[in-house]
Amino acid sequence: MTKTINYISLTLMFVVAGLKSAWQYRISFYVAVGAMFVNDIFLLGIWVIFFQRFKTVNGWTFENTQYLFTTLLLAFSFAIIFFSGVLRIAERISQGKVDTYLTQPKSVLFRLLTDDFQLSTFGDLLFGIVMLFVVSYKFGHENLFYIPVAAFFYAWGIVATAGAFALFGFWLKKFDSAAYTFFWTLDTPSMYPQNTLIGGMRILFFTVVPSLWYIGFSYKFVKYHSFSMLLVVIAYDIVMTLFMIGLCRSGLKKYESGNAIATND
Amino acid sequence: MNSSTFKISRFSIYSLMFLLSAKEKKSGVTGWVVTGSQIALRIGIYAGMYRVALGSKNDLFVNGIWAIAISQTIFGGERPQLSLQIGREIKDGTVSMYLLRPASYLNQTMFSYLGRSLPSQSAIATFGFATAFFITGKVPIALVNLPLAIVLILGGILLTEMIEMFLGLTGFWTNDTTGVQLMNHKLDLLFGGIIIPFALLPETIARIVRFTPWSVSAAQPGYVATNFSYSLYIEMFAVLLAWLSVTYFSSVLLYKRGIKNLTTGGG
Repeated sequence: MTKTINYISLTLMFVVAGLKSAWQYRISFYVAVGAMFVNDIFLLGIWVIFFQRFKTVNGWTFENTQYLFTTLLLAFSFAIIFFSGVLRIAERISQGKVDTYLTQPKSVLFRLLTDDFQLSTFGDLLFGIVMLFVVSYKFGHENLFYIPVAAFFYAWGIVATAGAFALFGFWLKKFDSAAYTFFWTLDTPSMYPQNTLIGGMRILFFTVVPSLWYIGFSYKFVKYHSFSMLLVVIAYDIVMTLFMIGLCRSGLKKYESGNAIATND
Repeated sequence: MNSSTFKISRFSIYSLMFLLSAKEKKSGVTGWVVTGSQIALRIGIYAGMYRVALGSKNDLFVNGIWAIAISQTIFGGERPQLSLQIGREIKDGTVSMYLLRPASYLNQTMFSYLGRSLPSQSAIATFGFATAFFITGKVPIALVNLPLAIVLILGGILLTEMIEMFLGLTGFWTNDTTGVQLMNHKLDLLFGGIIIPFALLPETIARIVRFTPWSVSAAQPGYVATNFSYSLYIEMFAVLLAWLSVTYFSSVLLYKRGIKNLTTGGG
């Protein structure tokens, strides 16, 4: 228990240190956060335009998209604010930079996940909070509870799944570009009407790119207030986290710092 | 050496840069397949959405899916985007190294970027067009019009990157080009037919955005290719050329002004 608390407080300290460092350059700080905020407004604009043209897609309306989008924004910002290293795991393995973490007292996987900072994600968080209040005001105050809870487990799913995939970089050469693309592929179904993901597409997003486990079920938890749906997300997160830890352990046995030389052929 | 030989050899340098960058970037089969598969999945999702909304026999559906595949190809340049790369090179002073070289910084950067983008764009085109064919069961572009459509697509890719280059050069006056890059990215998503094909935009919005650089570069090549008529083609080709000239000359102007602010080794 003490160990877990230590890791949580260390994660928070990394984020605070990153924020303090970014705060040194005020204008860049405001530009990065503000630009992402406006960026998210544009992203929502796409769906405003879409639902102007098609009022409903098989019963899916703009209201459903607002639920989904708000959960995504909060989940994505939770995942990347605390574990932005997940985007660079394969790159670090490929460049032989894991050596640095091997000498540190904390878990290698933990350091791989936390050793980065992306300021612009605070823009996503800010817009997510605005959207949370808008959605709660429009569709019910209970969303102030359901959406953040769903976002937390959704974020966990993002980190565990993308992290596990990136760790295959221990076995596959030049895997960084594939891992980066895979991260964004996971995100693919997170903005679109969930009821149009059917047949083969649905199977793919439950197997090869298994992001519907946390996107789809989190959405159902928010929309239908069904705790059994949340349990599915939690179960998936635990299984994927154990898989990620296992991969990291066996990958580290294979890892040599000379990997950097081998990949630059 | 007469002037025409000099021009040919300079063009050869840029062509070489293009080819070498493409070769250098080649990131292995895994990366190529993952990039292509991502686009295939995206197109699959859009197809699911539009099939429900329009019906799979509808021409709007068939043309729309192909138009999205074309827009995705145009939009699929290498990451980090050119505006971010140029912004970074201005900030860390790398741009000053190019002042000593005989070839232009703008052309070198553009050609090597286009070369680096070739593997990912070829993956997106291969997987994207295959998926569009698999979903719709037809190719809504007549064979005779194909060369003209390809010219428009290549022009679209060039304009997309010209806009990126122009935005990157604002880095001479701003600390970071991430903000403008994000805006440009979202304008491409909104008006470039990446998610909503031009033919499916609400009429009023379509009228407003039709001649904007984002629509001309990324959405119109797909729209023209799938709704081909010579008058439409000539009109869009002329607008494309106009935007290419505007962005290129504006970039040259920005570069010439910006370079005066440059401190060697600084930024």
